[in-house]
Amino acid sequence: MIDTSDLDALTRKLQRLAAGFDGPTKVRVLKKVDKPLQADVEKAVRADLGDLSMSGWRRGRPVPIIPTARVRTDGIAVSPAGRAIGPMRTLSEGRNGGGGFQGPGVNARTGATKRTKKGNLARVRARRNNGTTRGKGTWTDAVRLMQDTAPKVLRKAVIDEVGEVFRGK
Amino acid sequence: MASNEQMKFTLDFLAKTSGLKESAALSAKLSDALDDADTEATMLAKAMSVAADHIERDLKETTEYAERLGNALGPELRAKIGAGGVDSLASRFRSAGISIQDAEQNIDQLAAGVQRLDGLSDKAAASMNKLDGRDQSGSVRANFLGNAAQEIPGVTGAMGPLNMAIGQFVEYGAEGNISLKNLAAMAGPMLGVAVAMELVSKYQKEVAAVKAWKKGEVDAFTKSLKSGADVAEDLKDRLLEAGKIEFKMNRLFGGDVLDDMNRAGLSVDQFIAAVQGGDPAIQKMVDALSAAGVEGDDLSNILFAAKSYQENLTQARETYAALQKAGLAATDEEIEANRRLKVSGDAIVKMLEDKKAAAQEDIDTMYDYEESVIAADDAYADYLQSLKDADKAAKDANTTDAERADILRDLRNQQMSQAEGLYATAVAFSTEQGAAEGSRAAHMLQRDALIEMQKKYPLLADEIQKYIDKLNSIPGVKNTNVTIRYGGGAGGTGADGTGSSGDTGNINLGSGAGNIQSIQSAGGRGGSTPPVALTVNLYGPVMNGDREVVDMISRAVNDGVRAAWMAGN
Repeated sequence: MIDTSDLDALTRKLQRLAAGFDGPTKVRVLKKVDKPLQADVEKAVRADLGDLSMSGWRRGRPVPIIPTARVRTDGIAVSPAGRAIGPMRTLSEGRNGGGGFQGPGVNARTGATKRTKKGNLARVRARRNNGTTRGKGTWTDAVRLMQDTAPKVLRKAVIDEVGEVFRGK
Repeated sequence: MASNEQMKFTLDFLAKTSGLKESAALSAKLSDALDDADTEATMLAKAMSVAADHIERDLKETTEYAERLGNALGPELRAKIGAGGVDSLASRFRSAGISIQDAEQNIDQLAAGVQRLDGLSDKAAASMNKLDGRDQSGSVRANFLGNAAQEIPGVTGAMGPLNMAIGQFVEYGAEGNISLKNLAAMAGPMLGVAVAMELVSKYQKEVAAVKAWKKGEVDAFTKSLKSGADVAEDLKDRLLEAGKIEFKMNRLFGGDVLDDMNRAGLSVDQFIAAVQGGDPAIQKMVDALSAAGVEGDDLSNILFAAKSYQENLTQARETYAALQKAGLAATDEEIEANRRLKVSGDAIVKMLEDKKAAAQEDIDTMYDYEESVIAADDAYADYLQSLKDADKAAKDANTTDAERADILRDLRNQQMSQAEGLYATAVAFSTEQGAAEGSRAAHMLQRDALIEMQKKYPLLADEIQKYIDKLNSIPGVKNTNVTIRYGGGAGGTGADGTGSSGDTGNINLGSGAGNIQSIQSAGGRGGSTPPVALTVNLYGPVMNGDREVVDMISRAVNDGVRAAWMAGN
């Protein structure tokens, strides 16, 4: 005699799995990816700074260079949190060209130095030199870490969800 | 320098569940099929059992009948007729409705009758043979099956979708070759599909007769054809789906020809094209393979497979044509209508998806703008705190000059970076309002937003003003050249006969809304008429709106003309 009850159970489990991944299961999976990705950003910052802030930004109350994650409609977006955008950008790309003050009269858009018709340096109102720093590529490093982490964590989360359905009744 | 947008890592998670749903449907279908087959097999087994009981009883009774009759006939006649003949007689008497109980009571009379017949032995034997309608050549098993089939109507007609011989199926199940245990413990949707497909293909492999296989294939083709699918496309899809290309030759051989095709460098698409092209195309394929050095078993297997599938395709097309004729399949017009419906359906789906994507984009730009505003508020609060801290430090006698300089420098950096952030917020605002990047509308929206921010963040007003000035200087606004052609009226003759014509010529009013001049055009004295030719040409857009400028010019001109007329009069 052939017992088809196991096949019926398999059918129910597959249907439940499909319904889950159309909605709540997907959100649960993304929430599992959230924290590991943010940890990668912090890891990249610590690798370049030793901790999560630059002591001079702000003086006395440093801005923590930490990420924020937002679950969007079909995924998750990780970026530096509000105030951390500026410090992260400076950390990643440097300040004032990263190679030294470029002199007065530098056009921010074109990078060209303004000169008179005779070719002399034009007198312009210039910003005070507030120092230069070289970029450390911190955000790029963070992205590399996240690209590595995301598929692994996502895969494990999906398998856990599938296993949960198949191990249940 | 990277924008805020570039410092964002986005992970898209698109969970496609169609595979899972198909697996579930396949599993359910298989379960139903097994249930049906199980039911029919069980019914037949029961029927067999009942029939076997009947036949066994019949056989037992017939044996007794024959024994009694044989005894009554006596040893000589019995030997002459033979054991088979006695059995036959017994069976005939039973068929005639004479029960064994009747026979027992009247056996002597029956025997006497036989003895009488014996006197006409040849004739009697010939007569008995003519009269005996029972098929002696069939085996008991064949009759057994035949009777059993007749017991349950419809059993032989439809054995379910698996199309297997009954005995094989029951035997298969009884031996436990179908392992359904622990299926639920398997993880992974693809494993479920693989299991289901394995079970189905296992059953299909048990189909013994090529005819039955072909019928099954044609049935499946027919079913899919009824929904309007293309025959050839369906063949290709089914082959690719099954992952194998099987062929049968002389009902004896069979196998998967994919390996041969791989070695020969022949793709499935090329194979299908040859099958669809008929004999000439198949020959062309074979010739091409030969020229390429493919030979031996590889070449012959590919040829046989192509012929085999060509037969199926031909059968399917003939079946389809017959179905169309009988009104059971879609006509060519219906197929075309379905195709157009699918195309427009796909277009509608794409449009809805585009709308959804656009709506998502709108939500995301709204989130970006809101985040930007929150960040700006936070930054300003920090700046105010920094100002307090700086003020405190400045008043502290212990603060050195170098430290004071540092504090001022930090404050200045904060001002500049915040102003830059506010500009980014203004850009986010214009994007959120739907203005195209770099457009005049975007610049106007950004400028308006920055003007509002000057009120909200008064300590940054000067820095914000620089961005406003920058927007104002962007050459998205073209200079307007306004030229008015005018013509003076002819002068009339006055009382003294003198009169001069009015001026004629062009006046360039310059560019921009602030350069409108009032003009006067003097007409001639005495009977002069005001200028009648007034043409206003505007070149390029004007910041404050074209209509406004035209109105201003018109007013100025009209005022001037009126003045001239009045002066003339």
